[in-house]
Amino acid sequence: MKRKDFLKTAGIAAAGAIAAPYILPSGRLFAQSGGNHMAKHVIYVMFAGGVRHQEVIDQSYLTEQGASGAHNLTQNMFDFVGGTTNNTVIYGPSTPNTPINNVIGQGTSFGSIEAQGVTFAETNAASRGHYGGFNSLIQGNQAAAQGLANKPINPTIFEYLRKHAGFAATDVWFIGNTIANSVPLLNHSEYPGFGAEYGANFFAPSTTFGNSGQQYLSDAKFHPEEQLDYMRYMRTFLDNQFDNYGAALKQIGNTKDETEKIKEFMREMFTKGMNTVINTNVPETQAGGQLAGKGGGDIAALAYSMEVMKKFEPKFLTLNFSSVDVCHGNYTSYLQNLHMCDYLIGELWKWIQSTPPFKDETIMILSPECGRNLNPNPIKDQNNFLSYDHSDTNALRVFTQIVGGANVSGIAQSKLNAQKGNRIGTPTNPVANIKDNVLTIGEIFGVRNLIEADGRVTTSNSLFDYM
Amino acid sequence: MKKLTTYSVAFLLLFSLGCKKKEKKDPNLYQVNTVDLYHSSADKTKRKTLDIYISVMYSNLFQLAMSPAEVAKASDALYSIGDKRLGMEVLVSNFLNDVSPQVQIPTNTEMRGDIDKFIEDAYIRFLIRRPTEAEKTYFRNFITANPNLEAQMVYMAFATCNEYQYY
Repeated sequence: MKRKDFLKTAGIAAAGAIAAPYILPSGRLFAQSGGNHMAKHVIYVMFAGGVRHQEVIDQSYLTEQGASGAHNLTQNMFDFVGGTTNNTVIYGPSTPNTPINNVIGQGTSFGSIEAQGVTFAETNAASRGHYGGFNSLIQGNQAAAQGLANKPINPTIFEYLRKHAGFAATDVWFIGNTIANSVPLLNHSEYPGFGAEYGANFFAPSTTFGNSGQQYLSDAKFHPEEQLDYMRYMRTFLDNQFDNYGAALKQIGNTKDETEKIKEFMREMFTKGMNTVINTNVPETQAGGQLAGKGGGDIAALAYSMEVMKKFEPKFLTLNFSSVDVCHGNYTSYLQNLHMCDYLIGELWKWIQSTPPFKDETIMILSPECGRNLNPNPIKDQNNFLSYDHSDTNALRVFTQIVGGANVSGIAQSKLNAQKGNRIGTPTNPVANIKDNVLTIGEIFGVRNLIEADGRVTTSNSLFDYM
Repeated sequence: MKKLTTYSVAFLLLFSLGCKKKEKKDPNLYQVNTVDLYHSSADKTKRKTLDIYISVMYSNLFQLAMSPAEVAKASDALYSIGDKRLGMEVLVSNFLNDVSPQVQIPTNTEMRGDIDKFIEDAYIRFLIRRPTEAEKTYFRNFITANPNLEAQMVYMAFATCNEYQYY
């Protein structure tokens, strides 16, 4: 073959390979371009731990406890309901007032999440409990029969995206704030036709890169690629032999390259160390900051989510918080942690909007998994503030926020622009359910109808339907 | 002389039978029951928990028991990773790097000195069964065809394979 003919043939073949559709795991043909995606990235924050509506939406926490004044604890997420900027945070008479730096809220050049996006101010939670709430957020289902310490009983949004949108394993991440409360179980279901092979990659950084990980994962012997290839050949043989006789065990399905990239990421994180990772990504934890020296699961989840985003540029990443759950026994600490989590959201969105490839190309959605009771329990803290559990109907009152960058497209663009800065829903007219987030994410990535067709979500709405 | 021999034999018999120490059963002595090898991998139907997996794997690699506290800590580390197989590889690689104690793995020379024995020992150590002829042939051919292959990678393959997750 002449060189010219060869180049022509090779060019046509290459063009065909790029343009041709390929078969998804679901057996469907799908264009490789991802042209039907309304955003290149979705960041999903499970703003969890049980967030009481009165502290966040109503900003009436002091009057409810017998003190005076209205203040905005969540200044990065919400504007002050009094109409003017009020960034003063008062925890209580016995606790120093130390507001954390206002990153994107009123008075800054960014504008709060509320100002930049759309707030569903009166949203229904599907469950009064943490694990049920988490499962609703990722299954799009009431998950009433969901058992504690069990894998999700219905497919999760991670599996829907990997199966229907053809996302690779490292395109889909879940960063948990703890290994407690069954959080690591949430990365995939065991529902027939779905399961581990469509699951999300998961880290709980406070453990993975904390003491346990430091002792058992940080000093891995380096094996040359050739040796690892030998190992994989032999293991495949062993697995095939076992599949012939025993049970086939499904894995997350990271490719060889993805696996080695994740190992490389782990080595990099251990080399940096947790303090450096946290200080780098969460500036208020640096010396002199309001969170100086502070760690914990929520901060680690945020800091390592940002590291995962830098390394893997995932299409979909979920992270969760839960430090506000101290509200069962210490209301003042709850207020402090709520204020801290709001700051973390501010840092996250500011970073997203200033860091390629996420800048302008990302939609962020955040919801608590459940609320908290209207009336307190008898436990008083250092400020004589009463504590709150989560078991009554007030615990079903939550909120959802959605915000997108300038380059999101389709109805996401038109509706987010049209409703920008608006609050949707009132106490007498609640709008949306946290279950709707799954179809919303599916719609953003062009697979909403396929998720609905699977028949395991118990909602027929996405957030865009209400806008 | 004959008399002397008779007396000697009688003396020895007297001591060996008459002075036999009465064995007392030690109430604190625990022993391991003899367990038969699996006939095939099909006999394994139960999935190991992370704790069991780590405990057994540590024993197989180091020929030592791991303390329950350490098992729990290592289990937490593995639980915190979504891709368990990847986590297992990293964990095994960490163990391979341990200096004290050290993993008990045949050297490459030992492996190549008697490949059949190496294969049989690996199957019995990790999978608690003997290899089939087909399995033995595969590994014999693979090890022979790849002169750079290290024994520790064979062990890593066994320690992270699916069958090893079951008992």
